[in-house]
Amino acid sequence: MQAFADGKRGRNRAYRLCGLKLASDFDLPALPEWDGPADAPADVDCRLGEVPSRLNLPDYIAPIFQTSGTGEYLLALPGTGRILVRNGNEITVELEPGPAPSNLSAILSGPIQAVLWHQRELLPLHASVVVIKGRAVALCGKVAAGKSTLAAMLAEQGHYAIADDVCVVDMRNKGEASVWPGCTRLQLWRDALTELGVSTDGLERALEHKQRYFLDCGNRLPFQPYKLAAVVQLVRNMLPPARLERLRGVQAANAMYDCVHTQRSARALGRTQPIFAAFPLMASAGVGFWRLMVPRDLAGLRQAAAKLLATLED
Amino acid sequence: MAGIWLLASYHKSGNTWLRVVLASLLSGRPVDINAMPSVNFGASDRALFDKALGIASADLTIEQETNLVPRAYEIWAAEAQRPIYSKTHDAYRLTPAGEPVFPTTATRGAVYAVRDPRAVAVSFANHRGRDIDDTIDRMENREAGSSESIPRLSQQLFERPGHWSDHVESWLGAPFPVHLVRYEDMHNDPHAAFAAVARFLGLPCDSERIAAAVEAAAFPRLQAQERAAGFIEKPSRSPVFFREGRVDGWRQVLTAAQAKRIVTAHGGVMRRCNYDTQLLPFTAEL
Repeated sequence: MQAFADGKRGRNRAYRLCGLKLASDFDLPALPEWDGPADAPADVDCRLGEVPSRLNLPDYIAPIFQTSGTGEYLLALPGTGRILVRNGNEITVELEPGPAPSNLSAILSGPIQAVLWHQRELLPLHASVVVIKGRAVALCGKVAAGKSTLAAMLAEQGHYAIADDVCVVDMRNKGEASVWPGCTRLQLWRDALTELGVSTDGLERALEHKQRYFLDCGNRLPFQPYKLAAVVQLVRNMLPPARLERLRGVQAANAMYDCVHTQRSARALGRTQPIFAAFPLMASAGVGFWRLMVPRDLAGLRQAAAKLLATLED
Repeated sequence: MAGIWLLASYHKSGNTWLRVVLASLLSGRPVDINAMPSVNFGASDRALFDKALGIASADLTIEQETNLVPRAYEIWAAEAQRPIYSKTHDAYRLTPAGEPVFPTTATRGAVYAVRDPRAVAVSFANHRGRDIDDTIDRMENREAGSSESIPRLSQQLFERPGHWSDHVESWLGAPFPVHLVRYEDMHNDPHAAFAAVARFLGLPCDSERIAAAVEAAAFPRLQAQERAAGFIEKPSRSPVFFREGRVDGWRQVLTAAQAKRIVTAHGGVMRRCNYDTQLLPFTAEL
């Protein structure tokens, strides 16, 4: 995959970014292609351009990013380049000289997308999302917790994987919590694919320099928001058997805060308080918070999937 | 500054045992080996790195990842409310950008646990689920580390323990205080060995507290805990984590040729650490 396929500036790519249209100078294979009206104006522009090495008046400076107010976020990542996100609708990328970095599209589709949602005052969770009986279940957890693998297992059983890595929770309709489909493919590492009995032959790599692949689970749902029924925090490497416990109150709020995507950037952008305020609203909207303790191996993950389905399908 | 104390060692050299004793010492009571938050801060924990830096390390190249590790350490040290005790199997080394992976400004010091490499070879082979010759090869490989081509996303960041002798020498030459503790001394005179560690770390080192912590971490107790409930740090390919805990078990397992290979490769550093390089496997003495 070439991050900037033709080497020239031009808005010739359009993607679905949840409910928005994203026009991009870059290939972003993790996102579904735009299938709405071709002449619809873009809600978000992602373009190649000049990016300053620092913000004018930064009020938060971290080793690789800085922010100014709620509207400006600058990532400076040696080996990739600088990325400026402004006002939730503008992403500018200045690449380092030399060959196109192999990880640009992953960074744009992952942490940069999450920053964009923080700026738009929505709640991005670090989660894969599966729709079970018409209702969305967000599978959260730390990196390598098994979120995507669990989503793939549930998709195998006929449920629908609609987001991977970034789950955008929309609370703008009072009394409702919904999530938009964010992708049509899951990203899985080779060992997980092997254990699921899926060959990597013919699969597109999600990262050129690592053995991470796109897996199309095949089944599709209409591109519309889905009511969020549950947020499940996966905790991996626990002792067997798999266990599922309901979280409430402060315990739920703390666990959910752990699941916020790019939490440090959210803090820098002044989103901590609104995020904590969102959790009780989610609970009022009928979202259940759970913790799923998952043993280390794949059998443990299958056991966890069965436990989760048995509880949520009731 | 609360800062970071590094608990460093090559694999299978007593790091877990050391952490159990420290956890008992810090809490003042016997600990559950599956719940030791005070000493389970992993220097190479990918999730902690991502959280500190606000990036997904899974998307980075190994070079980018390693170059940013010192920044993560600086954040952890700056934000710590109390001293951090952080385990690592990495060598003390430089990043590709040329600065120490473990920044001096964030590090208060290191306890370095060393073990006779002949015993390490036996225990590490069991831990890896590989044969002993393959493990001896690995202990001589300067590039040995978690590999960029691995087909899975590890919960650990890239580490490069490398060559066993280089590992020991890198830590003994680190530019901050380093306390060397030998596995064999932890075994033969645990009270003295752990009291010295506690003194170095500024922890309570009165005889009663040390005795209680040593008793809580006695090897049969650790084995009993693992038998009863399992151990979350045990690799799935390894039958048990707390296996023998002996200092001379290698003499019953290694061949004379294997022991000789290890001494040839690592004899200089073994002698520096007071290991008897003349000692032979029992089979060779028959």
